[in-house]
Amino acid sequence: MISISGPDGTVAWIPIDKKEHERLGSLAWSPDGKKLIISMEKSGTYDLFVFDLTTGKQMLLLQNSGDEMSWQAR
Amino acid sequence: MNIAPTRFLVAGIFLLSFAFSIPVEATTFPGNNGIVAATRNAPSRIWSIDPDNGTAMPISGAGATQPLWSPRGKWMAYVRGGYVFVATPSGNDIYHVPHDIGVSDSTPVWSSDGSKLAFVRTNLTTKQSAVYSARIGVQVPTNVSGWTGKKNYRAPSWSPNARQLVYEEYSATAARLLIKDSETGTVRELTPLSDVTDSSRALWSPTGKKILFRDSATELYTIWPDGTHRAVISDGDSYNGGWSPDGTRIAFIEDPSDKYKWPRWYRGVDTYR
Repeated sequence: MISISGPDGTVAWIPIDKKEHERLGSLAWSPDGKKLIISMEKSGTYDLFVFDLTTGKQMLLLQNSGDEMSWQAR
Repeated sequence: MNIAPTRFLVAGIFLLSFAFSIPVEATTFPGNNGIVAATRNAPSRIWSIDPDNGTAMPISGAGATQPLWSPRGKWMAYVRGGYVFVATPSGNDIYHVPHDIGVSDSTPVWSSDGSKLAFVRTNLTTKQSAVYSARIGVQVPTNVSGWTGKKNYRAPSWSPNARQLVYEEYSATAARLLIKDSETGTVRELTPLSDVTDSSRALWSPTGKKILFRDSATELYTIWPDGTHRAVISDGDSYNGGWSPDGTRIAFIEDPSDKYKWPRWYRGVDTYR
């Protein structure tokens, strides 16, 4: 379950499913502030996932990636 | 991204004229989501990925790393062969920060108007590093931190008005965050750091009200730009924080071990106290 706070200093978990990955790498916000890109490492390589903060859905974006990413604003 | 270092002189002549025509980007939030740029493969290339349909394609030559979109997505900065490049979204280079042999540039960060980059320059012989800034299209970057004794500099981040830079000064025994005003040239200490090993990864919030940084190896902090209100926001084993585009929230990783099923935290931040 996702509990997203307002600007009141509280913390909420984001329910990321690590699947078979060993550790989390880094993250980047979407320009609209509604999604996160998250890298996850397995045996030295990463996969990128998009996590929708509104719906809680997690989607594979790119396999065998690096750990550096940036989301373009338009 | 096909400008080889041997062609830099020719490219530089072209880009000098470009410097007078580059449009300044006004930052607005929230933005609309465009494509994702990410590194992939070894040697690393930068790929563009459409987040709506997953279409991915390489847009750089080999050895490209550290992709970072400009604030409105007109340009992408990246690093290849020790040079900071600026490219179009389709991967055509339009500028690189020139330098002499013997140094290497890395970790570019955009100013909020997209007119300038700050980055770290490392002397390959002494391994000493300094923070530089460059106006896009201009051929002579500015040394922001200077080369000072045995001190090194890293982790630059612009204030939203692009007038100030926060960056880290560190040596084998001490570290601190500094803020330099580019108009007056004054430098002041923001806060001391206890961790001299890992980068603080300082990040000025989009609102300008707070600065996020890492210290004590595994904790994330925020502090006001005047040096007051330093506060820890994490609970150990935390890293890689990032401000939401509107500056009201911070997402960061808290990954103590695999025993936690949901290892990532998300925190709301009071930016208006």
